[in-house]
Amino acid sequence: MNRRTRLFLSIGIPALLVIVVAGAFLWQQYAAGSGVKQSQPISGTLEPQCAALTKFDTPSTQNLTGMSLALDWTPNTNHTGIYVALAQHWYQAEGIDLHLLPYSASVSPDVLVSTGKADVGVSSTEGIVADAAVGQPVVSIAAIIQHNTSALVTLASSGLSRPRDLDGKTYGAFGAPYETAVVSEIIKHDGGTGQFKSVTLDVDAMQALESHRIDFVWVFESWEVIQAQREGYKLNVFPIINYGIPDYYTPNLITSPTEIQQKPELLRKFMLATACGYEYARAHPKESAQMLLDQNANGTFPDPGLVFASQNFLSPRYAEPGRKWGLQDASAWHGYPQFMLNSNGVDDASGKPIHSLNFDALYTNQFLPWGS
Amino acid sequence: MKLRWIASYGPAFVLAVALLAIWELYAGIGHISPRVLPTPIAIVQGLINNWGVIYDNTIQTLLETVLGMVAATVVGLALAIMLDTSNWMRRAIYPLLITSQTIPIIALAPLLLIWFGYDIGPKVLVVALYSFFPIAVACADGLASAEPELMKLLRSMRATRWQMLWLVRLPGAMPSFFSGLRIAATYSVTAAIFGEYVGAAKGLGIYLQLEANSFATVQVFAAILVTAILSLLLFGLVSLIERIALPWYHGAIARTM
Repeated sequence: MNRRTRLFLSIGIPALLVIVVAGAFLWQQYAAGSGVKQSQPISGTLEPQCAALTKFDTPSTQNLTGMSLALDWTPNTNHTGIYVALAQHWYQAEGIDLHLLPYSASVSPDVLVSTGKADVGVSSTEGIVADAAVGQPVVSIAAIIQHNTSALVTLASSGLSRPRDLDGKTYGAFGAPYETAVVSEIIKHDGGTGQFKSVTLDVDAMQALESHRIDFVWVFESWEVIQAQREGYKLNVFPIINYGIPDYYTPNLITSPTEIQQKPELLRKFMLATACGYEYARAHPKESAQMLLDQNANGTFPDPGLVFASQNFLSPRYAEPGRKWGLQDASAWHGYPQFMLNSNGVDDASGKPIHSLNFDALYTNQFLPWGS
Repeated sequence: MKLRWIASYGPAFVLAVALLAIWELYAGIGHISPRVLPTPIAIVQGLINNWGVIYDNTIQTLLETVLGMVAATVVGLALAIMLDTSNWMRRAIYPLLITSQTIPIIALAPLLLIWFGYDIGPKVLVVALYSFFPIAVACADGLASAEPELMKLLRSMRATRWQMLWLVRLPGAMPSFFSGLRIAATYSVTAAIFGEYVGAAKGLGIYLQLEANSFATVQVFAAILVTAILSLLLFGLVSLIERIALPWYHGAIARTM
């Protein structure tokens, strides 16, 4: 090989690699674009407010207002209503072109919403209270699940069969300032002293529990507990609201005060489609879980059975029978947030614990189609 | 020569197989939950069964990696040549270059996302940020260590600055440049995955996250396996180009061994 061939090959091989990879990438984009998913015909009756959405049949992409929604986690059954509305083109019927911003481990939806990078987002009561405390206000516009479904769990084989047994045991924490207060309160409520060891984990807490590195964790019944059941693990489950912790909404849909001021009409339209999606999911667990699966890329849910089982658990829990989805009560917005403040679990921007907040400014029902 | 070359990897191969066998036996017989530690055979099966999805995500990550590497190579080379143009430049730029590497990118990640969004751009940037440094430093050192006799000779022949660079210093710096490039290639895939972790719609990093959140440990390991293979292939490709570009250098190494 002479000098020129060598130079040519040295530059040619990397260039070829870039071209091949870029070609494969573009081909893949092209192949994905050609397989647009059609909406399935919808079965069953809908709320009167939602009926108008289905009269619309040919989805047009013209004259749509772009809107972005930041997810709080990888797609799961907490998000089903949003995916139902997407699958049925209800957002398009309301003139909205909705983009989902994927979950990011380093940027919370609260930050994206308060900086205007997202119009709406999925967050939690804890997040909203902490945001208000540091002057990064977001407003909850709907409760996705009416009652708290989180619980402390232990392995059944551990013999820790009630919360007071957890005294002196090791808790796998996720690093929130208020969680010690919550766990301690649960143990005391059951007659224990509320003293326990705590290690902060950045890994799957259930894995740590199964490998006996820790004794108990705080998880969601709708996901982790159902997964454990599917794998045949026996767990003791202590739902936190059964042990003296005030009930609260989690997750919530949030937006920013600026958005409320500037685009109230858009939010109202968004909430109509979303609320109808969740109402549909309440009545049709199987169909809605299928839409959640279909709307996401292959591989999002390695175990579709988990999605169906989780949806069966959650559908009746989005709201109690006879109550409309999404509505929020003052009692839930005063009880748990005050408990958080009392436990010194919430700091202001300078790092000092705060003891009062205007809780009524943290939520509104005004954008729900069923009014407040 | 070829046989000998393959045989030289024998010990590494035997060690890898032995480690895998111990792992398989330990995880298989020890009744360890596959969620805590899946066996190598289960991981390969998971990879084969989910190949379509993993391939889709791999292409995305690979594109980010190669674009990032190209950018890093261009920037790294340019920086190295700039550092070499004068002592003054070296003193001005070198400290800044080192400082740039002390910034934890994980702390900047949220800002990268808010500034540049969810597209492929910020991931390419993260790969380039991770990779340009070893290239620039290694190449600059290579340029600085040109043989003084050769330089004297060229100067006596009234060669221009650029002629000296092109004829002696740059070819002389090539072995160092490739060392830097190899280090960069090793890190680049992981850097792309880190960039995806910050926020993306697709890619091996996202796949890892999805599978971890769905408790599919086998697929998590399958994605790790793909990452390792990609890194090794990139490393191998850099070595191959080095062999093509610098036959004299490799000839010399083989003779001294």
